Amino acid sequence: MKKVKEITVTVNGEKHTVNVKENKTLLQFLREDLALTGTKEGCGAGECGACTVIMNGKAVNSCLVLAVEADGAEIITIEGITKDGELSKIQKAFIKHQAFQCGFCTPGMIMSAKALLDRNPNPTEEEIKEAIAGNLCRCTGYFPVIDAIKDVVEGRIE
Amino acid sequence: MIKPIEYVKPNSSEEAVQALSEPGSKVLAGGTDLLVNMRNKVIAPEVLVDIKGIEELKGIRFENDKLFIGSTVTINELVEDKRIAQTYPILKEAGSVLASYQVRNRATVGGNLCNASPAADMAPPLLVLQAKAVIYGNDGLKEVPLKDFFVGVKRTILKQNEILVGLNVPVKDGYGKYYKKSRIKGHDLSIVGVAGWRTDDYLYFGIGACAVTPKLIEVDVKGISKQEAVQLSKEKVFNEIDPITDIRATAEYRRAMLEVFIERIVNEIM
Repeated sequence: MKKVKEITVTVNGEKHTVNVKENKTLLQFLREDLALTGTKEGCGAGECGACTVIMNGKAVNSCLVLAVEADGAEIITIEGITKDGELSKIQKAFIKHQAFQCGFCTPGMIMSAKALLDRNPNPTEEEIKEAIAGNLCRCTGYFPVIDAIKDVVEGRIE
Repeated sequence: MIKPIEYVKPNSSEEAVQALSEPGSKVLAGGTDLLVNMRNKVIAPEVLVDIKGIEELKGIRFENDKLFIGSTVTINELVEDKRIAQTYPILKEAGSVLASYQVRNRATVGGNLCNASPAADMAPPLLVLQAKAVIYGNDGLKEVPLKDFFVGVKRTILKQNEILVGLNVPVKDGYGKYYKKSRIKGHDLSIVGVAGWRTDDYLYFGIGACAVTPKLIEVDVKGISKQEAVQLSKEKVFNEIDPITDIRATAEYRRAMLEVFIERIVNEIM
């Protein structure tokens, strides 16, 4: 029985053709094979959202996707939203609003926010809450996060 | 850590059924329950058969007087479909309260049903819409009313080598509503889920998380008042449903919430 499969996956614009174990999650693949450790593992069960990445334009829990399922897919991780060393607007807004303390949930929170703003640049507060409902924060709370996303929406971040 | 597996991705229903004839094989759709169960060693399949590459299991189609929902349609595809929102807002209501946004991007309609959790959010609305499960197996295609699809907790009529192709929903006039109670708003399994649907003379209730399977209950309300309909609906529901106490709620709480939802739904849809 073969337990390894060749996949081609584009991560943050870079194409990788690699052999992956068929039981490896996308999260493990990103962290262990590509050393992209910005994406975190929290619960490993799709509850906490710390592992959120964007797969073919959609926010997904990378702990609930097998790497082999990502064959042919385009993935964006937290490492992929910084351009030429300059933080994205969402990242700047999170800093401005101190929307994190320990920061463990932040990459997932930011990826959910990015997926939301990519599909809907003008979301209501309810839509913002819906988009991040699957991202749990245990220390900061959600108001600074919501305020940060609103600042991006309302053009207050350069 | 998930134990080593073999992963196959068939291109057709025939290939899928063939792959599933191997012992130890299991269908992989959205994976939002399956992979968690594998990680927690609740189940340990040897081969995963990913059905997301099969064309006939995809898409939402309105054809004459029926609606077809492919089994691999994700919950968000359903929720974000404009025609669904117009024709059957009840499906959108139920889909929108299923887990989190990220999970809804992966979880499929077929997976929610085949997983056969008594609390599956898609079951109550599809039951009241009289959906039929389209099943493919060695004998070809067959259709089974969704109310006969569930046989127990986490059990359906599907055989090891059968797959759910999708759902045929008759397009009929009516009006409905879905209410769900969970411990926290969103992102949790139902304690009680009630879908209600009204046609000219009947009310239909789809009840989730209150019995071993989601249940469909029909109430003839021809010529009776709204007040009488509330009473009759409660009687009919409690004739068939006797909720239990579990980790999420007590039986008494479930009964109380069922009464609240039935009353609220009848008042809204009649």
